[in-house]
Amino acid sequence: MRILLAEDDFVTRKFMMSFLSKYGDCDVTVDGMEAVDAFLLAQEEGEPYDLVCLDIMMPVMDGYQALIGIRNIEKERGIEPDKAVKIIMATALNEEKNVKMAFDLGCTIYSGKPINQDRFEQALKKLGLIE
Amino acid sequence: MAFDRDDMLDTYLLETSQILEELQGVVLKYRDEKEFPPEAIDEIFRHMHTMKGSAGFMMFEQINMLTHKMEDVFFYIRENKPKEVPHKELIELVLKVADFVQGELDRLSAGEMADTAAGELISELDAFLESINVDKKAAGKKTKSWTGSGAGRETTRIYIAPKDTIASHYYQIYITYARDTKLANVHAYKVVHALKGIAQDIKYSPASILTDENSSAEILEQGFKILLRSAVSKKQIGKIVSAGYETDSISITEIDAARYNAGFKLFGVDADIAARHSKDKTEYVPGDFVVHANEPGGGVVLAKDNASAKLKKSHVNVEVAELDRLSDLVMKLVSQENKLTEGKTVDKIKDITEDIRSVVNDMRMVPLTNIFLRMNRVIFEASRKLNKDIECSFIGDDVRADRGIVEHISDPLMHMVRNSADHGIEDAIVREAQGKPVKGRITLKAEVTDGELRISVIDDGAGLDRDRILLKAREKGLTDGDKADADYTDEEVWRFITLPGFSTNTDITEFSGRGVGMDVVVSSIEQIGGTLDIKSKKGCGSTMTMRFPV
Repeated sequence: MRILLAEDDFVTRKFMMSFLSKYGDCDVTVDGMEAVDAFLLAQEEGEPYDLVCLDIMMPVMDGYQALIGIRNIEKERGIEPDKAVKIIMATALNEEKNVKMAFDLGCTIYSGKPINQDRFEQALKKLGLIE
Repeated sequence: MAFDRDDMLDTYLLETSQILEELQGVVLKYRDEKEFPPEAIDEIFRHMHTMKGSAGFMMFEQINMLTHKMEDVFFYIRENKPKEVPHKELIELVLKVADFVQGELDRLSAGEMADTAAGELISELDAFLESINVDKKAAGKKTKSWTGSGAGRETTRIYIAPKDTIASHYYQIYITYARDTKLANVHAYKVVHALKGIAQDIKYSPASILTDENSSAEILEQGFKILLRSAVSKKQIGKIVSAGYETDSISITEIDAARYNAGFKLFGVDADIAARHSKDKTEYVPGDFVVHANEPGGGVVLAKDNASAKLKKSHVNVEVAELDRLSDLVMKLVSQENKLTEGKTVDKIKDITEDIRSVVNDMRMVPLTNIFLRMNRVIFEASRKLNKDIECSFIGDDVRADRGIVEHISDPLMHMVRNSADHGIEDAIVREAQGKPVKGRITLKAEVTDGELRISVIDDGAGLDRDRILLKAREKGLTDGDKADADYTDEEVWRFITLPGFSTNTDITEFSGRGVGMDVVVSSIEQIGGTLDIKSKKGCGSTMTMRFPV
């Protein structure tokens, strides 16, 4: 599985990388804009990501903007909703407003931080990303 | 307690409780009938469907599977309309499912996991489904059974609660150091370092304690503030923080997540006032969470924080309706101006201009809330430094005043508040001896009465000492030599303290009593068109009221 991670905090990034590497190859970006660029690049090279993991509070573009960017790219390339990449927002922000906006903008999973690793894995299974 | 921690959980609990109530209603209504009518079947089906979806979303798998199975049962009944459905048994099963879900909701409320096994109950439902399936099977007819999850494919959405939601505690820690402490910033850093071991998250103010030497002065003056998220108990934190770091006083208070997230703005503020102000009332938009700055000490500045700061300086929040009114009035004005040769027109123009002025004035009004909150912090810091227990309350913090006034009363208010805390409120021992509540009280009050905006600082302290003031006034030659003490009215005596260079305090504390106080306060107030009234009663307290015409 190809995974794209966007996380601006070094310590969290290290943790997420080692955690996600269990499930597949993990590419790392440090802000929202890099993440969108990386996503587009992978599309163009014919090796799209299966899973994108976005932090919300990031420099340049925040997680919401990156989410919009990625979904727009998919729309433009005519990618069907059931083939669209699965996107996880992982963040310490926990208000209902934040969650609702994330789902309205098209995210698949919203995970609070600190990440509940068992639930995370369960969710990946539910989505059919891992066995 | 778990309620405050997770918005999503709160919503889930509320919505599911409501569904269970409705479910109970339906069941009770048809309990004694022979069977459920079609509408009831449909309703129960929909309730199970909704609960299945929301449980799946929250990853409560047992509830999800159970309600899914019940949904199957009702789907079957709805589509295939079997002749013999054991009604009593069905009722029993619906109630059992409802009870199970309620039990899980109770556990969730108590901070536990919704992981009670539903396997047995699911088997019962399976058996039931089998039993009503029998007659159709016997007749060899094909049955419709539930395959999909909805008319269209429902996109899977999942919410994963943060791991330490249940175990996280939020604390506000306030530390003061003796005034002669050297390198207070280093001491503060040592505390932070010690806390990092048990902290899930930690923020502190001033933030640049390692890089900025001037932070020491700020720490000595205003104390060192820490916001901490951790799983450990208050007691343990107390042990860590007090382990020989040369602190003067330490205060640890447990707070809730909302206040923690609100940051240092609400530090030290009373709980119920904080509750009103901590939830960010505005709607978020994408882009609000772009990180603009990230300093050690948790000084993350997000786009939305910057935006609101800018808002205070150069923008005012104006209601669209008011802008519309303004446009309307201006248009009317223009059309009247065009008719200026006629006599009545001038009067009409005057009326319109008056209305425009009034609308513009309204747009300049801001609530006093932020100023009051700031004063609350000042009182909190003062009470810590002076070792007095002082409570602050607000009356009319939502009163609105012209921005020009609000911007300029901050300093005078701060001075008066500090005066009350320092000289007004007595030490606990003194208060007790006088039969006063040990907790001193300072009230900030705002009201608009008789065409005036009045802002008062009211304390229940010692009140002004008339004799001492008169003595000092005589010493400084401020009194009229011929007038006897008794001939001075209280108001006249209080007036003395507003004269330059006046101070009756023998030991000048950090806060006040340097003798540059009340005269500057009064002139600041007068500069913005106001006056200061002083009322005081020995042993009872003082009230300082700023009055502005509106």
